[in-house]
Amino acid sequence: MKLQKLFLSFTALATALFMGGCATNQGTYVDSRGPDTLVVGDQITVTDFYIASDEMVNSLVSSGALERSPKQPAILGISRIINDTREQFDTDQLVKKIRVALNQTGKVMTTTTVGYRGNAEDKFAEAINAKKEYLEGKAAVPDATPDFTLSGKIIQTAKVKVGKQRQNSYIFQLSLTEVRSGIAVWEGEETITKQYKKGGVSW
Amino acid sequence: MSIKILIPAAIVSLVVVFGSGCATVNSAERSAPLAQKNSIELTKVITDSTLKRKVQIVGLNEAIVSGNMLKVQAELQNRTNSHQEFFYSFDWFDADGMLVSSPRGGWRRASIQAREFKAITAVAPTPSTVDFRLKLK
Repeated sequence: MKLQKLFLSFTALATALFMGGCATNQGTYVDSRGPDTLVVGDQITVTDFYIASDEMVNSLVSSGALERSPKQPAILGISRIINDTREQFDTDQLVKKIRVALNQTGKVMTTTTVGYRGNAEDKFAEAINAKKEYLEGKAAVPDATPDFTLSGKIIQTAKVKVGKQRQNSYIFQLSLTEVRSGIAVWEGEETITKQYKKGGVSW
Repeated sequence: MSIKILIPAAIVSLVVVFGSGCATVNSAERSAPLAQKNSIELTKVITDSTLKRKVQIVGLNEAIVSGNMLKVQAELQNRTNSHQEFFYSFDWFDADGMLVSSPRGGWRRASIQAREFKAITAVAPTPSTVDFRLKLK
């Protein structure tokens, strides 16, 4: 009887352990802007883009640079954003967040038919505009010329090593240029530095 | 003999342990600050008393930037003698009390040196935002 109880307890414990194991293997969703996201020291991550875009937008809106535009809301053209790091990623991870956030402020609208080196983001809209312009003899969207352009660069500094400790920094640099004057009316820089141990996960 | 060795060793250990946490931040400021803060009265809902004892909100003030955008600054103080890490997040609300969603925000990791005062700032996502909630974790 005692042995039977022991056997049952052991079976229950083993089942609980195996069931628990099954649950963890399936993975889990985490809030991509939450505190449970992993910090990877030697790579740029989505959290870094969230931090950089947040700081840049805070700085740009606080500067009042957009308020000084004669046209409200001002039209923003996206210029060249250079990835000058040793990693491969799409710079839209930064730029799109900034665009959406600025659009929410109501102070800026982004043109998708006028782009850097004539590359429109929305080719279809550009084609429709061109067709209307041809047929009607005037630009369908005459105000799409940007009042401001956003350009910038993402830099990765040389990795610093002290013993097993590693340090990695990413520098986000952006400039908002007023097209009519050619002057950068706002400039922002945000540095994100991460430390980690070789072979480990940083925090 | 062994006790004679143990006691100094224990003292040395204590000094090392507590001494390492003594790299506090000393601050200095005007006795009568020139900056006029538009302070906000605080209503705190504390659920984590451990965090409250370590990092505390000591002031909140607001300003309007870019014509109609609410900007909030919270002043935090590390009340301990050791470096602390924490997370913070701002929730934004419109005049109807509805949460304003934004691609910005979310939880931000921050650190604060021993005894240091630190300001964290955020600008509301939309001009229609009138209120906020600051969360610390």
